[in-house]
Amino acid sequence: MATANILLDALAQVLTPEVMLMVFVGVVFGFIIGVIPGLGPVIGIVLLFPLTIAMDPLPAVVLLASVYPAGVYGGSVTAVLINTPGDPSSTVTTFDGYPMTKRGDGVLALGVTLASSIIGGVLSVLALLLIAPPFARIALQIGPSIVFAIGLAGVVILVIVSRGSMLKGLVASAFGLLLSVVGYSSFRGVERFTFGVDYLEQGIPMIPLIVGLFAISEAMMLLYQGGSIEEDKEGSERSPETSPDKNILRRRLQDMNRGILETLRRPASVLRSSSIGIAIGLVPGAGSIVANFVSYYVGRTFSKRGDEFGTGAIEGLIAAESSNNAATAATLIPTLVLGVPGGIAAAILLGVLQLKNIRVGPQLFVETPELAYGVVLALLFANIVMLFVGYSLSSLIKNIVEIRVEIIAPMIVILAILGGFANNFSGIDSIAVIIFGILGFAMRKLGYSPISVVFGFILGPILETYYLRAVQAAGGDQLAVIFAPIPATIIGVAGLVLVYQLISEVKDIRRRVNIGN
Amino acid sequence: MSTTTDKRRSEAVESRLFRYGSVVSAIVSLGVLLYLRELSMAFSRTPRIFPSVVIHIGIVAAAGLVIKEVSTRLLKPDLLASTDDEVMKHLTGAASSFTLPERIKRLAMMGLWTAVFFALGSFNILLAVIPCYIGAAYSLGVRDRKTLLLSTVTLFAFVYVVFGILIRIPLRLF
Repeated sequence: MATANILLDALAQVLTPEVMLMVFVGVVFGFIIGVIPGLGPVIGIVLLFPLTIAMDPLPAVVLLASVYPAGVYGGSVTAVLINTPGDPSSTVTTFDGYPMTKRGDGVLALGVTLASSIIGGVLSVLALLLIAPPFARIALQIGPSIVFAIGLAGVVILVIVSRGSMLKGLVASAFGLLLSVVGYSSFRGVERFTFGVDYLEQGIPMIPLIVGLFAISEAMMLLYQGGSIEEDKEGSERSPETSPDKNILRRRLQDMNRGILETLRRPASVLRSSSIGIAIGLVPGAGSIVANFVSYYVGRTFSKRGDEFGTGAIEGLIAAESSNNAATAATLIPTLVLGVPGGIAAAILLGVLQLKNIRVGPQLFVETPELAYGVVLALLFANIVMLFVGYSLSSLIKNIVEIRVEIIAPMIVILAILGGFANNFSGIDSIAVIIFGILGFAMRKLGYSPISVVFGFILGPILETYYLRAVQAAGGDQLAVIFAPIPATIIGVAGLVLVYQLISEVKDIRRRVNIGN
Repeated sequence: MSTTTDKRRSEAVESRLFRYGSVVSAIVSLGVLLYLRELSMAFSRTPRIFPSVVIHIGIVAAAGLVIKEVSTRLLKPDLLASTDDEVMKHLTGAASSFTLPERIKRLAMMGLWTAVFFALGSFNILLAVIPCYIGAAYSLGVRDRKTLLLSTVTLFAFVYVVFGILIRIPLRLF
């Protein structure tokens, strides 16, 4: 009964014009940013991050949370139409989406993508609603050493699932964790790693760091790589949605409807893929990229038409799309319940809550339940709004995907500088944005993931707090924290997975050597 | 013909930069972590615990990275894992239509206009958006007047509403 009352209170808060406006703005902005070549939901969240400074916690989190599913869907649109995933989590979408476009079924594929995404998203939100509160009650009994171990495992998993070298991922994570301890320590007021620079005394500001590492480095990468996504003329010229036609809008809407119906005719595929997305989204650090690949692999294995996957199969598209959007809300479960971000977007949302002095973790559902449930319900509305936005903006898609990087990149740079400035109305923060941007670009060029840095930066204070609490509880014995049964099991499993991955890399090397011989 | 040769030369230079950059960055990472370890020794016990754990894990990873990078980038490149190859292909911008000097020129142009934005922003950051955006886009090769006008108006409207009206940023950057 109490839960029902809290839910009603949360619903009342979400249904206010301000919050609903944030949902709408977030979805529209996320969709547009997702469709723009080279940009994805994370950049969208980063660019809107400074806007949330003056907002109350609920509208702030709702605005950013609404960007995510819409951005993922927007990224899938470019994956389908021009074989360019707007976001890594839409990579698998290209496998079947683009072949469909090439044979003239591009808008039908968009219909499938939209319906699959929304069903996956809604199921994921329902899972969040059902799983998170009892999970939080259990989590309240969890000691600081276990939360620390889970956080550490999250870092390890992120390193594993990140593309590229795991060692570089570990170094980047350590770098992020160390950046988080710069400034006055909350423990005994000691100054750490400030090098006598006044600006660093209060710690490295989160907004310039995130905006620089992601937005500026992305703009630099776009300029550096050059070109534009419409270079692949082959598909776009063949597809009917890019050819001039007076009745094109009506035909597009018919195709969209057909795509939605085709998805609804395959409930087993949608449910299977969504379940995989939710399960993987629960794992800290895994997120929608892993969900996308695993779901596609499972779908191909168990589907009767598995051999058609990769040639423009609707089931293949459903497998990719339901899972990546299902994972988006599921990543919020460890984020809200444990304070351990399930992915990079969730990590930024966690950062917003930290800036608003909201205690995230099991206490969230006890101390501020209206906020916790409010975020969940707002995500549900975001998915519903996405149906209408995605449906109605389909006629504009062609114009958006043709925007040149030379138009986009300067816009990103200007918005990023202004975003950094808005943090504290300080020009130094804008300069910090540029410095972090150049650093992020260099890191990307050398194979170090800025995602790992930001993940470490946001997770750092949480890990430190829980670790010190655990050490305190263990009477100052650090080894007792790590070697207690449950933390040792969690850290051990994460370590084993890491070792397994390293062995796989070594096997890969040996295989290459054998082929060379 | 010369374009193809230029492109190949660019790729060769970039590949070499990446190879040595990987090794140097690994060594720098290890060096920085060792330096931070020394610095952290000056902290009292409680504030030192967490950074110390991170630094020690980082040192092990960075040392492993140095060994790996030296052995794979310099001594035996055929030992590179496929994931490394994929990353290198992605990161070095092999799919780009520009030569290395052209790419650097594009970045330099953006850098120049960013500097101008900072300079003009000292007087009025909102108005600075207009000349700097147009200048940057034009110098990057956007010549179509309609596109320039439309994108400038869109950007300025967005900036004005979000930063000018909603956030109410001060007009002077410094």
